[in-house]
Amino acid sequence: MVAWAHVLSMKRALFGFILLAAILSAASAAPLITWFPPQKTLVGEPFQPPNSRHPFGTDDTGKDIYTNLIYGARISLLVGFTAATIAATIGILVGALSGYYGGKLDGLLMRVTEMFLILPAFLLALLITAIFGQDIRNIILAIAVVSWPGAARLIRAEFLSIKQRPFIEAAKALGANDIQIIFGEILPNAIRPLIPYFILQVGTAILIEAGLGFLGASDPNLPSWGSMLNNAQRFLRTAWWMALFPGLALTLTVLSLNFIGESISDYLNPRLRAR
Amino acid sequence: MSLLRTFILNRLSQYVILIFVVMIVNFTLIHAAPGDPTHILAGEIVDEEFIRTIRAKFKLDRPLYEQLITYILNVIQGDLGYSYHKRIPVATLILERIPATLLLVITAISLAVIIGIVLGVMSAVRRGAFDALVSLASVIGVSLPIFWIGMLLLLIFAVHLDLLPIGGMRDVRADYEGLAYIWDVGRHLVLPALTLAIFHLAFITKLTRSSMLGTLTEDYITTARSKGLSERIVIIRHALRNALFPVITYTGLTTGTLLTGAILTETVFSWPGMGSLLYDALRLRDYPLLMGIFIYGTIIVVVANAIVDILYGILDPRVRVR
Repeated sequence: MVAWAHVLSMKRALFGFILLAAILSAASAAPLITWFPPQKTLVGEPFQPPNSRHPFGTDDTGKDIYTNLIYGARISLLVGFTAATIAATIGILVGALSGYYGGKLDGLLMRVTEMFLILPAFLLALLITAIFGQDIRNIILAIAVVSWPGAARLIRAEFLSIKQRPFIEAAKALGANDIQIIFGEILPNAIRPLIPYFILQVGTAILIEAGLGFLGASDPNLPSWGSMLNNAQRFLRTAWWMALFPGLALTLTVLSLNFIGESISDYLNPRLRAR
Repeated sequence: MSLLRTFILNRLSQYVILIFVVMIVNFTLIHAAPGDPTHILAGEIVDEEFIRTIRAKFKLDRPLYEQLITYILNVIQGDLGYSYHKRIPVATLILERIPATLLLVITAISLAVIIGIVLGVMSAVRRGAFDALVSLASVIGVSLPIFWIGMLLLLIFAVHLDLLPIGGMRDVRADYEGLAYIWDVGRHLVLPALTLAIFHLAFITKLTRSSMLGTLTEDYITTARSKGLSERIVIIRHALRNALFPVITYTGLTTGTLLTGAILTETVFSWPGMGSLLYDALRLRDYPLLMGIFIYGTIIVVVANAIVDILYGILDPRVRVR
């Protein structure tokens, strides 16, 4: 049972890595692999189906879909990784303080965390962008704001269990102060389960940004897969290519992240390995 | 019994506080936003009279804490202001739309739970190739953007195959009654419900599978088997019962995700529920409506979470000792 599960997990991880690497390369090398400027309208006749000049066709304003798809990858990946990083940072700080000190601080922080966890994340992010503006920085911050509680909960649980261990007592006996223990001793161990979580969070962040874009709440000046899908909606009957490719790009990106994240998670899970 | 009562009271008060916090957060957002709060509460209306009414209603000239209390009282009484683009009370609009969203959400989650449990159990019991396939499908299922899958389904089934309607909840040209009406709504419900269900189906399948796998290794399963009970009874009556706990919890806790999914799905299919109302409010910058939907939607989610949490405490005594 373990054998094939392992192999499958490795195969998926490999597939995920290759796919993600391909997407990252394409995004970085965008100017090299596209021949139209991004976001420029009327680079060709509008509503062209995929052809040799426009591999993914053109949209209603004559923009080349392939070009905007590649540049859109930059936006999605940027938003995804940045938001997830900010969320992880806040989450680590809150979780560490909460788990290590306990008591009233823990109670307070946990209440706040739970509150955020119950509130529908996407709705909150939507509200924040609707009120504070739709530019890309607000979007990244909004996504980070709704994402940090998950990480905090995870880190706190790890801290609670690790701080009981003998080596922490030893460190204290050797005269280490709180900061040294939190960041030097406990955190390096507590971070392990956070790694797959972080990767999955990037995927979630990308989907939230896409969802915001789909509802028209994302940055209108930047090529975003979600906004492209918002546009595609009106022309579904006549221009199926406007909807197919951005969505496919989204799915493949999130899929690769999910494959990688789950494989790492399976690898770290002692139950699956021992059996 | 008294421990149970303490538990319930405890949890209830926590959730009531949460709802108040949500209202305070909403209030804070209104006032923290760039520009005048009147702008947010009255929308883009420049009618002097109306603006004066709004300022009076929300006591915008009074100190902040008075405004907060007024705001909270208003919300409790169901007064969320007026929709700027429809000129009718926000609360009325929202209540009108809730049934449609409920229909969509309940159908979707039922589908997801039934099929998800079946697939999850089969996956855990059979293992092998079937398991691998289902597992792969699940990962793909949770990676798909819900609005995209909706559009794809629309493209395939409504546009190309012309099997199902393109959008809306019913055929506006015909005036069906009774059974024909139900059939019509049903036809319109298929694609949106399916779209909304896919993510949860995938998740529930994964959840059931791992829960079953865990349960099947427990000692009491070995006992049941050694008693000579048929494998079927062992699986269904003994293992499944206990494995289902996480699924039930998930169903309640995932109300927020369902709401989000409903918003996106309704937009794709023009399903006349709260979700498409939100989309309209966004497009038209109808702030009163926007805030109203946020408050109501959030309250619904909090209530659902509270129900699951308390129910869990009633069903599983171990949770009460905290």
